[in-house]
Amino acid sequence: MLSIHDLKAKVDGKNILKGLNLEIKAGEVHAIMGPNGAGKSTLSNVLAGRDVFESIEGKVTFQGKNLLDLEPEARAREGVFLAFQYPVEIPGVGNLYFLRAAVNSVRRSRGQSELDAMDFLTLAKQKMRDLQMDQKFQERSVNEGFSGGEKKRNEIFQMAMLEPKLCVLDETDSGLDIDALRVVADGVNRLRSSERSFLLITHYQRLLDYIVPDYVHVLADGKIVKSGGKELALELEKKGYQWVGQKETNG
Amino acid sequence: MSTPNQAIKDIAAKDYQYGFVTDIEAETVAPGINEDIIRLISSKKNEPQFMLDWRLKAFQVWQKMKEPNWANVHYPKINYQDIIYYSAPKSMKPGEGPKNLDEIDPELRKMFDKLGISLNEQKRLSGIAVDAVVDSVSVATTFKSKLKEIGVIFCSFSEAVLEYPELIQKYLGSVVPVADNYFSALNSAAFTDGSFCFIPKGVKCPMELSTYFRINASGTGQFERTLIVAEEDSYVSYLEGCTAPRRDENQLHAAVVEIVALDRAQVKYATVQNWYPGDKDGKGGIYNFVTKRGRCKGVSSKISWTQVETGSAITWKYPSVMLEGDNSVGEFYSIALTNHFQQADTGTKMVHIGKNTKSTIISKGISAGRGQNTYRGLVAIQKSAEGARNYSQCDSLLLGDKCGAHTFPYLQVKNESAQVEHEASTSKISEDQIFYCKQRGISEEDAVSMIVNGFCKDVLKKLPMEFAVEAQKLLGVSLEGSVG
Amino acid sequence: MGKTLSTPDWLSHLRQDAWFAFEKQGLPTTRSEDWKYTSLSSLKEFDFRATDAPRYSWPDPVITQVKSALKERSMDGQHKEIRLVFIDGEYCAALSDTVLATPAQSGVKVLSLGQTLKDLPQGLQKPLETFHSQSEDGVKFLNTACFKDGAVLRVSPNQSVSSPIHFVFVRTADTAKSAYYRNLISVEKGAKAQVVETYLGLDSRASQQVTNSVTQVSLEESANLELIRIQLEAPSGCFLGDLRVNQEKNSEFTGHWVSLGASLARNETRVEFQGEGSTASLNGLYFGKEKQHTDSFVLIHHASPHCNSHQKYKGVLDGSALGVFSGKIEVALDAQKSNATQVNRNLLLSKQAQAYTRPQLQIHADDVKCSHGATVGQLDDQALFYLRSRGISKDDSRRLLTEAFAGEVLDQLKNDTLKAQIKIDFAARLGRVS
Repeated sequence: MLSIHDLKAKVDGKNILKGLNLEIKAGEVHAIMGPNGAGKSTLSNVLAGRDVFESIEGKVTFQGKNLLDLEPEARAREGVFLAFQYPVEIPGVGNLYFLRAAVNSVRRSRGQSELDAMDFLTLAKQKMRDLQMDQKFQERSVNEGFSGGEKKRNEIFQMAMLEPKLCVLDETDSGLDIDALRVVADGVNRLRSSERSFLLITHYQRLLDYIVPDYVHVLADGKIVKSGGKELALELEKKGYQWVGQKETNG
Repeated sequence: MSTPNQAIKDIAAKDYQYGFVTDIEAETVAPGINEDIIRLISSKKNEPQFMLDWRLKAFQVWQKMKEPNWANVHYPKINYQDIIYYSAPKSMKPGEGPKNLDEIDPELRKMFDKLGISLNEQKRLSGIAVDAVVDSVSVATTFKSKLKEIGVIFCSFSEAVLEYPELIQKYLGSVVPVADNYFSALNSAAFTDGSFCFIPKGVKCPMELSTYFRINASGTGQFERTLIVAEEDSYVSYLEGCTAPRRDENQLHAAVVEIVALDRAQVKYATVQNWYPGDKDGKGGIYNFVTKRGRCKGVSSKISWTQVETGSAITWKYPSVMLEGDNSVGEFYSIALTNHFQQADTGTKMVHIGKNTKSTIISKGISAGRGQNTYRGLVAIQKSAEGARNYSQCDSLLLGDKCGAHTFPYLQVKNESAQVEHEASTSKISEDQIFYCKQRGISEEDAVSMIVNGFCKDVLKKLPMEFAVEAQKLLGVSLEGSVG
Repeated sequence: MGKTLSTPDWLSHLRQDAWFAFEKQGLPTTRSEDWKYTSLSSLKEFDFRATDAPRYSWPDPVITQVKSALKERSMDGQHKEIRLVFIDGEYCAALSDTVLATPAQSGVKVLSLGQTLKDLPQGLQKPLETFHSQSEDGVKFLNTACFKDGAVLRVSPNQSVSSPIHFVFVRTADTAKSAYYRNLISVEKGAKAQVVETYLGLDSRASQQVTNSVTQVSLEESANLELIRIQLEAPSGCFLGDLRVNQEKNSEFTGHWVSLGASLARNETRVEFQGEGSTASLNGLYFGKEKQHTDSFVLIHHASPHCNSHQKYKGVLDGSALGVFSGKIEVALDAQKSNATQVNRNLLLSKQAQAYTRPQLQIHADDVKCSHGATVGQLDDQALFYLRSRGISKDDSRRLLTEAFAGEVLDQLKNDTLKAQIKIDFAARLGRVS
């Protein structure tokens, strides 16, 4: 589904990604872990198409298409969803109004009919219940006045509504207490299917207790330095990122 | 990412929807203003002597005045002798005009159909009565007789001068005195038509009343007057819309609107101003120099102004409220958008005179292209205004790096029991917001229009439903070509 | 010492120019937007040109009186203050410290303008001419035409002056004439200093006096200056102050304006960001009672990107006083990433007191964050009630809350000695709260 080959990205004269390779097949859940500054958020921004990079080299193929050629909204319509680490506030724009515009633009591009207000609302209410979201989310502006945890829940809610093929979760666990984390993880697990892939970007192993990955990769200094199964995460948690770095230099 | 999308370019090219000209045979006087022209206008309308005297006095006052230059707008000097002060469709010749709506010139009817305004009473969907003004005359007023049944007078100003001279004499100039400012003086001397509306004691006007202003003829200025009188315990909601053809010349529109609210009366006045704004290089467009003021004369009366200003090359207007009656309320809700080379200097004056008077000001300015947008507002709490309250909020949104947003509030407080609060902010749409929307599959232009509409929400929700939708669309159209 | 100031040719020309300009324009009127709410018509009859003849020495009773005032206002604490004293427009050497660059205070020069013109005139011409070319109205022309003396401070690169530098401008009852001062402060690359200007009227029965004082500040790259202007003129006095600050790259300026005295006081502050990354924080407290009129005028010009400005001005108005605040933030076309805030709050303590406020934003760049807020109101009823319910008398409660309101601004002062002094000054001026 997603194939990243020798990806390099530069910001403000600094090389952040230095030749990253990654292969994700349909239905797989991958976790990328790494210390601060390793390039984790850069990876999610490159995938979603954020225009802050001096240069991007390498190749990213998503379902046979060159992802790097596409505008951000086109990537979204193709099925790439990014759950933001810091979801932005948009004053005055209703949360559901916004989401309906997004859902319908994605549906249009897929050749599906638009959802009318009633169908949309019924569906939205169902998903909101699943995520134990308060009714007040309906009336509020996008992310405005939401707590950190509410914002993250809202991201997963949008993900559920947009039915993407590839979900990139950027530090979704940060700022969540344990109860909220469980709810969010349940929401994600409910979306797991043989056609949908996940890329979890996280600093801590904690999230992976609830969303169990098929593969774990360690990102350090712009490259994936180690890959393994879910047990790698536990090992990392025990020994710290230092451990990976040392191993790299020692051998 | 920042390359302008072809789709936006395409729509931008067809921007102004109402720029067509209708070929109507018109009766036009020679350009220029002098006593003879004023006498001519007055005689064309068979006006009584008091009206002519009033005009001539105003003309004398105007000649002694100087054009104001304090506003933050720039334009070449206007030659007031080049303007045509009277132009009317031939079919509207006084005394020979249509006796009822069925007799209206089909060309005029077609023009209004094209503008989306039906002059056919049966065809009106909702309860809105329209007074349609073309250039210097009112061509039709719908639902006149139906309103008359409940005592509401709604007719053209010319008709009111003839039919209700005592009301006109009592209230004309009682809110905006002739010498108030340069443009009000000129208007008082040369106004040609407009709407008159009188809501008697205790009547809640069951329909929205509206005036639609259309400039059609070239070289003319439009000088109209609107007078609204709401007696004790009455209520009326009033709408105003305006458009003009696309032309390379600048045309002057200098109107005066006066509102009087007696005890416990409520008047809501909403404007969607969409005069031709000029082209993307700043050529042509209407100079919209307007004086609008209401007097809350009665206790607990309320006057509320809502405006959506997207048109005109230059806008210069400050819909104001004199809060004379105790417990009276004044409101001003405004959205002003300037794109390309448009300039707007707009705001309000809230003058608190009575006790426990309250005013609210919400202003949203949006600047794009090379647009310059100025909020200018005065909140004056007079000594007598015990317990007065004001809250003002003025926000500006910038789109692009060649436009400007300016905020000039004046707060004058002469009574210690007053509470006056003013807040303002200036910001731009952040890259983060746009990216967030795009990541959810929403195009950049939709994202901008969504964010702009969100920014304006507090004001949009004050408009009557039908107008709000219209205004929202207008904001989208006016912004086309500003993204990227 | 020579006659008055030793006057080079360029200065004579400049003064002449300025005088012509004043004769042509006269004093500003309320028709001018900048002076909309402050009328100088009461000064119409005042002879601006008349200043006292040079005197160099003062009778003993005057010196004694000044000395005791200086003692009261001394900022000696951890560090002894460096002080220059001016009386009725003239430099008083006997009561001043003169600091030339000596090893002990290396890199700091604190001198009177008269001495500087005589001994170190280089570098004076440019700022004086620049001021004249940028003068907006007659009040400034008068200053250039008539200034008799003033204080000069130069801090050499990377010097940090730990002693507070104190310029004291005293008015005695001896004269009814004008006093004109021109002060020049330059803080060079990476240097740091703290300056206090105190304007003090000694005799409360003095007849009409005008003090017209201009301070020009230049901050080089990464320089840091805190400047406090305290206005305690006699009740009949008129104070016309002007402060101009030019900031180069990454410099930091903190300004405080405290206005308590004079029947008419106006202080103008203009800050210009000429280099990126600079910050200016301006605090103001103005108080008026009886028929006092105070006007604080601020203009911040963001001419360069990435600069921050913060204004916080508060007014306390009692009696039939009028407080005016005009604050304008201008952001130039290419001054992206500007961050500007402005707050003006006014407290009206009596029925006759008035407050006019004009917080203005003029923005030409798009990537900016600017906000302003202004309020006019009274003491919070609930807070008042709370205090009274705890047994504090109504008068004391009002006084307490008023002092707290002012304290929010005064607490920004870094010098504790000074902060305590001004709080006492404020409390004394406030008197019994009605």
